[in-house]
Amino acid sequence: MEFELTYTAAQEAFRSEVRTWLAENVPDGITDRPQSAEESRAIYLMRRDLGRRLGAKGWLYPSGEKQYGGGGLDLDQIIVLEEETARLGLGLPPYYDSGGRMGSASIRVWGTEAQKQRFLPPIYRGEVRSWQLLTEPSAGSDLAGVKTTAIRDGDAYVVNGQKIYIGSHHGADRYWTIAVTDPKGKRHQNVSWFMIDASLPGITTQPLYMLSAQSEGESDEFGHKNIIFFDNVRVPADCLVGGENNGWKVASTHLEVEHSGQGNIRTNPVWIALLAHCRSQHRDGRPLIEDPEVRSELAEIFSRLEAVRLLSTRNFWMVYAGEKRSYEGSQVSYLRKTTNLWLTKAILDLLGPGALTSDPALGAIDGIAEAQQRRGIVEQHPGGTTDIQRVVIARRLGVGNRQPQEAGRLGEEGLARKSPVEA
Amino acid sequence: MDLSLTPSQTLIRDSVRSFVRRHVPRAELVRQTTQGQTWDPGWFGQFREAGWTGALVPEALGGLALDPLSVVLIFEELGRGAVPSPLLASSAIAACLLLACRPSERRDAALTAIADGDMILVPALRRPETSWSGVAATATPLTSNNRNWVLTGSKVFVPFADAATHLLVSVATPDEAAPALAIVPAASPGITIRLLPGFLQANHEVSFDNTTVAATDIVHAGDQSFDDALATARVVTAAYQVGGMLEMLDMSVAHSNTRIQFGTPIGRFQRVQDHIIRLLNAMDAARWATYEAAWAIESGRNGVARSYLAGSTASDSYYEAASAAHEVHAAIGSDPRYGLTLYTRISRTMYELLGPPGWQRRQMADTLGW
Repeated sequence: MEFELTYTAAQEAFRSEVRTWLAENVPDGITDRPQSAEESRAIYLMRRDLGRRLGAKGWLYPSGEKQYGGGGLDLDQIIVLEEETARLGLGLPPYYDSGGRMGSASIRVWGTEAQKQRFLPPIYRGEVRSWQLLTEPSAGSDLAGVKTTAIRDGDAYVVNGQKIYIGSHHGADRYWTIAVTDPKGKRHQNVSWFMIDASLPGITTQPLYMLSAQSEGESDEFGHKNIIFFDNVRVPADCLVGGENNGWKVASTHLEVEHSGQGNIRTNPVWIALLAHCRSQHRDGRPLIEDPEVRSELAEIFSRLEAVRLLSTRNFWMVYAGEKRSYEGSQVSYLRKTTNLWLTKAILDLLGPGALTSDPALGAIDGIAEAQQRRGIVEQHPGGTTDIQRVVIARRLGVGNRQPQEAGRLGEEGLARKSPVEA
Repeated sequence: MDLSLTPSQTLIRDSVRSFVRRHVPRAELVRQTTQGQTWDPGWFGQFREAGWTGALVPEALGGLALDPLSVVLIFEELGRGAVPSPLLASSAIAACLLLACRPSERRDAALTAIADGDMILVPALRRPETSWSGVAATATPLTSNNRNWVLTGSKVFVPFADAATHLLVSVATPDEAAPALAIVPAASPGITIRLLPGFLQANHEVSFDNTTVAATDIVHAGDQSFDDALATARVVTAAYQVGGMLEMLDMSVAHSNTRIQFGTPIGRFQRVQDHIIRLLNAMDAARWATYEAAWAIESGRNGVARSYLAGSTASDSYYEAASAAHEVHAAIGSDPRYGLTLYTRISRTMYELLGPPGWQRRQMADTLGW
């Protein structure tokens, strides 16, 4: 076994090309923490502009097929691109593009050739930003219980309903959603997938403020989720992906990506900041790190986070090597969620009430600790609760005398790592 | 990055797996255990024939000098079978300790004898009424008698001491500051070996009463501390624990699918599923920490720190996994004839084998240079 990535000469050559390009094209201030709504908007626009420039080179969605505007790059190159953007504190895409990242995987697996040609290039070139719209007020964990309807009427589907906990701030251009196309049909066989133009008449958006809404610009203060209302929205029939009433199968691809099927190999940035803090800060006249109790607590935190990192590395490799997957994606999602919630208390124990304030003088680790206290809670629900992850794991293991369930198809998209927003 | 096994690693794993399947049926293990038999010399003879006794011994001394991951795979499979033997104590722990000692004729001869299987060298380290703070701190002072040394005192929680041809005793000699080990024939006058009763697998108290130790049987630590030198042994120990968890997982899934209550397999109940998932997560955390530590040792990436991570995680995990398995199995799991308790008992016995998990984590912090 070899747990580290090793690089070929070709990769190192590509790395220097990428590094040079990024130095010339990434503007100063793009990772600043915005101090006002205007700054937040300005940073978002910077990120979209960078996205278009990356898209023009095929580097925004490097694993996407070239014929559809993707990079057509191989995994060796994709790894380098992601490492180099991560080094600058950016992801690929450098903005929240949940519908693009996951939705494009669904199109690649389930879309018709015409749909691939129509939908993929604007995503891959960074011309549009897309959000996924799944949850409804009465359909969260029970996604198959969605009530939004899309009823065929001539050459269009007429969509009515509302979706909640959607996207981020600054809006989107495309929505990927699931809606009931056969109100009398059986569960799982009555829903379809749609790509919807966000500017269609009848769509309204209302901001929804959460305990934490980290997104572009790493800002919680100016970020929010949204509620999106559909009121007799006429969606052209050719925007349905994967066949009428086949939406549940399309969702399996989408959800596999969201359930951490992909894995990543990064060390938790909160850990890096926490260790540095304990080394540099003093309490009761000595560096925190010299307090035996602090050392024991840090060792415990490190051990727990290492378990998550190692299993993520395993998942990354499984996708990388084309190994058959089973429960691994949901396992990492479950462990990441439960560990980060546990971590809120561990950090509170370690740092005291300084972990609860973003005050520049009294707050710990430049506000990172305080943000983690909120995020550890908010992280529990996106992409499926911890309970849902356990349901998936049990099914994949074949517990309860069931045929072990197979993992969802990832398509070739599977290798793109998550943006920092979601990782 | 490549987390696959090499063909030779796969071959080793499969040969151990096949040995366990053919020769160590659970019913036989249960029979031996209920009759108080702690190990099976016949099985050990087969380890010897396969060369596993010399897995970590250098080729020049007659061993196989396998890479750490290959040894991990051997012990994972033995742990999966709950195969009781002094192999871990002798060929992993004692071998690693000896390899850290200054080269000497006695050291090399002992390593060769371990590899050949002629010597079963069991480390006798812990002293009563002391908390664990590393191997060096366990030393029992020797007194002088003419040209020989004399050993008096006792060592406790010594695994498989009844199988030992020799004991590797941590000692201190007045003439040398470096931590020392004495290679003492188990049949020496003054040695009493007493099996400890209770929820332990083959643990003994070894008492020495004016036992003569030849000066030539003393070996001294070299540049590396004994605790650092045990890195590979810690990882291999963790692998044995991981193997046990893998088997408990399989047993728990199978039981959840066949045990019917309320007219349905109990695995349909999410509370039962939760126990299995807790077991799975504990197992995978330990398994991948173990594999990574084996890689870190081989590739020179702070293998000592990684071995402490693997060791502490595996001890915590095996304990947790066994508890979860019992929650799945309920009453039948507590029946010694069923076989689950073979694993449970090992999970408890091995919990502190190379130091408590908390101590191992503190060592990890020190080794990482925090």
